[in-house]
Amino acid sequence: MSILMKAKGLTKTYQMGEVPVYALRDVDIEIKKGEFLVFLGHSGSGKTTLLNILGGLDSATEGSLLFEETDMSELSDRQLTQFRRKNIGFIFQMYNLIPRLTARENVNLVTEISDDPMDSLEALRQVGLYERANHFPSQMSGGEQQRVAIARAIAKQPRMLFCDEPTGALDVKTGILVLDAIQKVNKTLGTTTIVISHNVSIAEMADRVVHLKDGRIERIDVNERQKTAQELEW
Amino acid sequence: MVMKKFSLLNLKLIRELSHLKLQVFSIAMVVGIGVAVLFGFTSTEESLRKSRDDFYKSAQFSDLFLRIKKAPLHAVHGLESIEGVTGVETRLEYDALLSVPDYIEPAVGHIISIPDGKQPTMNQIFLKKGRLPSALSEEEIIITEGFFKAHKFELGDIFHASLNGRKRQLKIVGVGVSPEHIFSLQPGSPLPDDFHYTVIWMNESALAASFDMRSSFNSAVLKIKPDLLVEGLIAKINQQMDRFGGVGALGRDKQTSHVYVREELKQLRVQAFSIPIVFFLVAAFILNVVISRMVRSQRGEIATLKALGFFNAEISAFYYKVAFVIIGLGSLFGLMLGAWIGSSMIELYGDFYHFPTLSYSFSIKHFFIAMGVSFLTASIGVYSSLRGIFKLSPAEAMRPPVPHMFHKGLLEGSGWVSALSTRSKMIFRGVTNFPLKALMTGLGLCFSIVILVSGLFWQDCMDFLLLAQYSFVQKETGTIRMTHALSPNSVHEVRRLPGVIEAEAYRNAGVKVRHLNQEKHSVIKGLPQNPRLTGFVNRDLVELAPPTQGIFVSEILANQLKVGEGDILEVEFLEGRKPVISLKVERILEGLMNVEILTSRKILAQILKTDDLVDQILFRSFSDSTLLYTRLKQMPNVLSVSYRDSALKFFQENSARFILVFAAILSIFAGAIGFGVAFNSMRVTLSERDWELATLQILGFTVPEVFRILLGEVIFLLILFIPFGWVLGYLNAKWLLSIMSMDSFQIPFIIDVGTYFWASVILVISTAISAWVIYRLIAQSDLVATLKSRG
Amino acid sequence: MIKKAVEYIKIPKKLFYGIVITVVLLLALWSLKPEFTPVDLGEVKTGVFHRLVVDEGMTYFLDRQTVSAPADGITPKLSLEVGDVVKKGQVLFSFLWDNDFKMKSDLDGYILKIYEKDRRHVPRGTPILEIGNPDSIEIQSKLLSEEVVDVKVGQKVIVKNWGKPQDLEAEVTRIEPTAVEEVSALGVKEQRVKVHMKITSDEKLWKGLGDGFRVEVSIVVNEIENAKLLPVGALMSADGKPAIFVFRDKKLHLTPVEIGFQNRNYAQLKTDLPEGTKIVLYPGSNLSESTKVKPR
Repeated sequence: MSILMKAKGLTKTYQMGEVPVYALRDVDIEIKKGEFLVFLGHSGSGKTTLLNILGGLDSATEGSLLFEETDMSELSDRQLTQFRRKNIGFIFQMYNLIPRLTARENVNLVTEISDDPMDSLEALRQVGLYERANHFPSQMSGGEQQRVAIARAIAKQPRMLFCDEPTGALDVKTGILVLDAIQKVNKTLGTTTIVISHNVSIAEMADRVVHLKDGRIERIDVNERQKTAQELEW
Repeated sequence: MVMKKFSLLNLKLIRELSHLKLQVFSIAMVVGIGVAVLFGFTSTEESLRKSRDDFYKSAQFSDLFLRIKKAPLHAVHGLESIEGVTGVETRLEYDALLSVPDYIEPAVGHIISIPDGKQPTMNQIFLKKGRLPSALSEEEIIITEGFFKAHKFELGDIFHASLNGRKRQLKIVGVGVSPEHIFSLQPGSPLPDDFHYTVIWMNESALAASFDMRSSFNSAVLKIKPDLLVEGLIAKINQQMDRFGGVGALGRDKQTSHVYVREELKQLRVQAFSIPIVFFLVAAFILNVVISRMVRSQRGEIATLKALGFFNAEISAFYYKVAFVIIGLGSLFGLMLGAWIGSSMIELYGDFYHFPTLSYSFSIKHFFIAMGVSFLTASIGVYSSLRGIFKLSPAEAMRPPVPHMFHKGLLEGSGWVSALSTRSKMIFRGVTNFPLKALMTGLGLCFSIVILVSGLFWQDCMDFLLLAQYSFVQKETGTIRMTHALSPNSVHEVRRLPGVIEAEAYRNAGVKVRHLNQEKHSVIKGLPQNPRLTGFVNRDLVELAPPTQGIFVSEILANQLKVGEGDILEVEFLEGRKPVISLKVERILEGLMNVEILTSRKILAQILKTDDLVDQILFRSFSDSTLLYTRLKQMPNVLSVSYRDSALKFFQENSARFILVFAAILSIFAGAIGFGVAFNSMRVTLSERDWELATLQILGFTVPEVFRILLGEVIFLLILFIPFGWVLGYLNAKWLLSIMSMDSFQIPFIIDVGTYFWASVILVISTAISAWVIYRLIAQSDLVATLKSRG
Repeated sequence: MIKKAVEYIKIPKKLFYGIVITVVLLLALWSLKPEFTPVDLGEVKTGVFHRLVVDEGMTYFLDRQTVSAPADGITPKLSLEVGDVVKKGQVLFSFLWDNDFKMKSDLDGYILKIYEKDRRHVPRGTPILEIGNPDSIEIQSKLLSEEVVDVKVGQKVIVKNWGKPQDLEAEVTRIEPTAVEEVSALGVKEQRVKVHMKITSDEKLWKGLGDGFRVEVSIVVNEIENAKLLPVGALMSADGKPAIFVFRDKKLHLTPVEIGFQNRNYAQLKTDLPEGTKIVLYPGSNLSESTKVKPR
């Protein structure tokens, strides 16, 4: 497998008055194409910060980040936006759907600015929501909304899929459904996937599990066998 | 404990306000303008009124005015003995042709006598410069300020007047004004002409000597007991004095200066209230939008306060305070602006109305009225936003609000909406799902247009009025009035004068016209056959044929008499044998600046059983006709010469400055409304949907793309409401015109397309400016932080 | 079905804004479109220019008789009225003197004026009545001495304002040699010369004309053939010199002109302008070359 992203010495500090706060300290990581990564850690461990930096939502104070050949630290805000637009699909805990657009329109929002998008109905079919295409978010359950978000994320056929606590607001059964959808995307479309969770069980789905603590990578475990979403229990 | 509660809330108040700096500013600005106009106009009106009333009182402005041909001095006793008359003063009044050094065209002086060397008992002269003529002087005179300034005279300067056929030298020793001539207008001219007209006050003996009126008088002014019915007295006076000739007694309501001043005050009063209403309404709208937003976002806090034991009133007080602080700031700004507006307007008025002293003063009453109105409208705005929250129980309120159930708006059934891009759909639904907010924002925007259209359309009307009058109705260069009705031969004489291209003669007769129970004083003008220098047009500027058999009556007069085409008017002539005759109204003239009755000279001669005499000659001449004017000045039977273009030019020059300033200020005001409404609408949307917009940025939309969605809602409203603003502006303008009908002009209702366009441009520009400010705000926002606040 | 079709025609945002901007621009152009000021147009004509001397005239029965008291005596109460027809030789009344003196009419005509209607004692020479012969009617006019120099016997005269709408024609018959001082209507001293004219129009047309009727006479002192005629209403001044506004190619051209004589309707145009040139009549004071105009 080839390397998609390479981070070296990533550090992120905030100034809280007099005291500097280290969200990330000297992080090195390589992300392989097509792999399924899970970032584990308690709140404050730096997992969200790392995800944000890798996804171009934030920039590191120190260190280098390469996406294929591009040095991300050299990119301006506008270029980072362009980068995100083309390459990254995001899924958040709170779905973040546009409430005044239907499921299909939420997906269209993204396909209209993509170079090579999937058909929006096809994306919805992939997550099993083809019949709900014309419904508004207020008419759908939490799980369905999250799956729409996944459809929206994959519709632009991104290189990478970033998920920040995708099941955090959902019950077990719905959560599994969502994770199943994410896994399917990773397996069938080959999209490099990073999932953040504080839930250890989810890590069993991953190729590799990155454990973070106090802004550093404690260790990286490799799973010999990836469990399917249905096999998970918590 | 109570103290602590309140000071906590006050701290919150200050923090809240500083957080909303820009919004506070924009609302305060709109309120301020409303207050400024209300305050400025009402205080100006009051200052003018006070100046007028003070002057009338101190100068003993008479109640009745009597002009007769000639009566012996002892006839005054008869007048004094009439029940209700408290004072009579006789005097001499004549018009004379003036010859001003270094000035080609003859001017006209309206001469009024004063008791030798003394102030008259009524209509006293306020001296702005110089002194009264000395008792024995035959040549010392006082003139009006306008004439003095126009010719750059100095005290002691000399000019000549043709008194009763003889040229006399006159010396200026004073410049003054009397309550009879606060507004100085030459009869026959619709606009004032300070170059060619002045009032002259002269010693009675000198005047009497020139006109051989040593023991007679031809003019009298009377004071009557207050609260007395004027008509009855006038009838009694006329009974006594009719045999001495003349038109009869007239009250103040026919006195030119008094009428003009009264109409001006009326206009001010109307504008003082009609303009600010719009601003206060807009401010109320915006406040409602902003405070509603504030309340919605603080829903949890309000619920907590209620749970803690605060009463509704105590919590509401906070929001009212927010609104009141904003209103207060705006009002303060408005007061200062209003005072500036008032004092500037007073100065501008000084050019046309020659009050003795025109000082700007205001009373605290106006201030309170203005503040009261603005606070009232604000309270309505706040109250309506709070009601929703207080209806809920604290527990309910502490739960996050049920998210708005979006639905496909109206019109989405038709195919074209789904054909829009998704982002456009966001814009469309953002508006249709919140109809109330959209309506208030839209109305606020279109009020900006209403303000400009209703303020600027007057100019369009005036432009048309002047175009019609001075290009199609009056085609002459000048008008000669003779001392009395003369042989029509006189027109040949004028034609032969050097520089004259053509000339026509007219005849005028003073009349009283009656129809049903209406009676009015008027003048019948007899036209020559095939008049060329007087035109008859309707409002579309189509030429009409002159009267042949009956009479034409101008619209204003016809309305006053309630008479229509085909009706019969009873006409009583006030000269000669005073015949009374019934005449058929052949046509009603959509007269613009004229209030008159027209017929042919021949018919007049037949009715009055005289030769075809004439007393007025209209002529066209080449300009720079020095020779012409020299000759006219030498003719004893020429009473006055007036010039069409001079009065127009004087008016246009003086009002141009005023109009420009007024238009600029009004545009700024309208822009303030546009800015205030657009800015606050976008600002509120921004804070309500900040996470939605952040999501878009994460999804890869650039800042400009996200901004365009926000802007799109306002643009959508603009497109919908700008035409609505045109319609509202049109209706408002029409209404304003109808309540300001005047006796002497009939202002045609015209709104130029350019006016609508300018109003729209101003609105678009002010919206664009607010959009730029909002863009800056978005560009600076930290999207990661926004997401964190939600997640 | 329509929905499907419309779906394919997605309106891109650029087009939407494009439409909006176009509408705004169109509105702008329309409102900035110059306002056309309406004007009245006339034309330069070619024709005969009549140079006129115009003044007031009065009808006069040349053949008249004033019957006066032949001596100190008494006039009777007359039964005659003004307008009564009398015949030559007819006895009018009896004048009481030493004996009844029969006063006779010397001519055919009618009574123009009666001075003494009632019985009265009058001195010799007192006019009693006047008779006139309408067939001897002429028109007399007192013309300004400056103008009379151009008047010649035999010149055509147009008579207007005599009572009926159609004009009458007359001819100059006699010009008196002496001028008399008079005061004009406007009060100015003038020298005037009496000129006599004979009506040449068909008698039927002016049957109603009496003695002492006011008329307006226009004596044609010169007829200039093939003259360029400029309607007098077009004249105005620019820099103190006569000028006109020519309307050509939808624009106004301020053209100084040289003019010769003027009569009531036309001025003799000396500047060379083609026949049919359109000109603005009674131009308003706001008109200038940059004003956009259209004929009313």
